[in-house]
Amino acid sequence: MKRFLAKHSPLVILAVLCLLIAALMPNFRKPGNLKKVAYRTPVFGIMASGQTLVILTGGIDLSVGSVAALSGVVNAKTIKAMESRSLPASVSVGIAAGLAVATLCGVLCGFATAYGKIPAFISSLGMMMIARGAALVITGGVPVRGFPDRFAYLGGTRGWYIPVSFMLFIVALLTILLLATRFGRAVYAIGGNSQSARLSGIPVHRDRMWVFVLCALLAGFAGIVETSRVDIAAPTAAEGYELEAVAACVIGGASLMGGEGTVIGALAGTLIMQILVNLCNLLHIETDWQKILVGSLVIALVAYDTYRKRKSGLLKE
Amino acid sequence: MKRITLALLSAVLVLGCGKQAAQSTDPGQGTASGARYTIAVIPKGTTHDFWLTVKAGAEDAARALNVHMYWKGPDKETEVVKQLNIIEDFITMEVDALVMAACDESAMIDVVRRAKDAGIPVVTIDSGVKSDDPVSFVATDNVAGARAAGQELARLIGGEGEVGLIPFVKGAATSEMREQGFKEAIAEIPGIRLVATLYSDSDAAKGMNVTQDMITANPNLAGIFAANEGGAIGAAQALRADGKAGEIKLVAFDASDEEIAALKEGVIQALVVQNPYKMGYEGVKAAVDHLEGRPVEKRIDTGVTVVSMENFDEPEIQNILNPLSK
Repeated sequence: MKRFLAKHSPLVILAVLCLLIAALMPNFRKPGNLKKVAYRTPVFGIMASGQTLVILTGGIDLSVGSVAALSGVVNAKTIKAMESRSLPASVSVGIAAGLAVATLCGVLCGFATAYGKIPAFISSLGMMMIARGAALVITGGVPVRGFPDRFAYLGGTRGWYIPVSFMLFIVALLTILLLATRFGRAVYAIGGNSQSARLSGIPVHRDRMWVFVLCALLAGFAGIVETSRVDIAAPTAAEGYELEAVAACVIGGASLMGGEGTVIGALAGTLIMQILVNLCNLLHIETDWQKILVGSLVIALVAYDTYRKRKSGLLKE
Repeated sequence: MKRITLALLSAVLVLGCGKQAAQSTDPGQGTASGARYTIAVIPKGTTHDFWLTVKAGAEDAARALNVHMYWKGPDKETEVVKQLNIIEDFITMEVDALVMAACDESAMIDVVRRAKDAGIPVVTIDSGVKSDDPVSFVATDNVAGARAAGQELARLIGGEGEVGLIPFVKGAATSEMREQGFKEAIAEIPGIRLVATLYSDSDAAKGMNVTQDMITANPNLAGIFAANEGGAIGAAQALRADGKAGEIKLVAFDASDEEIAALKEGVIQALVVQNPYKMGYEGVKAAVDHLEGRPVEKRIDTGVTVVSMENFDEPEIQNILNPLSK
């Protein structure tokens, strides 16, 4: 029992947090409000799921926010271009184009990191600037707007369960990938100790590259979901989301040293952060104080988690 | 050998960066050979229709007055440091005058002083700085504009009820003045109560989230004032998503395509429209007047117009809404 609590502390914290808030605030537990929190979460949840893979290998991907914006913009531009020529399937092709560009970013960043031996922090920082710049160049700095009606479904304003189902599907898929496949075990092994992973025959370079590709692909998808939800693709969108994604992973129990963490934990971390912001707004806590509060809570939660793990002997000294 | 390669590589990188910074000052289309002056126009952001309209005005003035114009600003209105660096680079380049909209009314005081000390006059447009150094401040009277917005919202909700306010960035002069003007107007009407103030950071996604939270926290909300384009787009999208369009009245500043579409759709009931074209034009003109020794007024008001579906089709209104099609 103790072991279970220590291992799943993010989920426990989330459950306690929700019950407490629901008990104290009638506004929070209104179905309308829960729906909104639910459809705000996928953008970050999907991003954090991908980020978890990279963090598990001991890396970090700072480019996810920019890649999301670039993907959203490419998706939007493609849809607009096809609509104006009244070509069929513009939404599907647009989404595919956005995902393709995101994947390309992941390939470049992953290649530089895995084969070029550039630290992930640096290569993804570079990709963060490149993708942001590309988004600004493509749009000339002007947000893209005016999509066909059917594109609005993805974002959840017509049904919160659509993006939420996508997110849960992705979380489930990645969890299976990590726990039940060779690739998943390799990801944990690389983060645990890349030397011994290599010596035991794991294709370290290849797998390291793959986590960046998957992470960027998911970031791209998150960007498309955000575009659909807000109904506008701004080249400056999703700025700072990379840090929220990393924070969510860490709150969810991932270690930045690699080898430790779960996708479900990252999802819990994302939910905790979304609930906190929603709560602050409902309680009329000013924006400035929200930042201080959320920042402090991130540190406090992680400190508590670390303390718990150390006590139960789960943490390597 | 390795070390030399590394040194060369870093040298190339450093040079490359320097070059890029100088090149990215994109000369305006108003460039004419033998231009009399070089003037840098620095907006607060480059991605909103509002700033593109300012640019159109500035370019037209530059063309008419035979001035070479640079246009460069930060991507986002919150990027204070980036704007500071851009202005510093223009001081280094020794342009003849600066026309700028300050991302922060306090943070830019010092750099404006340094420009003045270097003999470069500064004209502020749209968002000023808290000092006496600028030659002129060419802008909407934001307090008066927001007061008009408050009165319009009061009229729309029938003079009583709860209202919410969505300013954009705390500490930015324009945002604070609109907050002040709106609150002044509301305070004069006893039946109206301001129940929530949440910031959009000029971002549509953030604006949408805070609007939804505002509606959840205040079930009796009758009206919202969104103080700029980003917040307005987000608020409109939130009202659509919640099925509250038309039920909760929305008054917004500015008039981007998206906002005008929302007005026609009935999600936004009234727009308080500034004249960004005039700001760009008059800003450059004030700088040139000063350079040529003509007297320039310290404060030039460019005015606001309240646009609703009632007056939408009037030619005068259409002219203000579509300056880019001129």
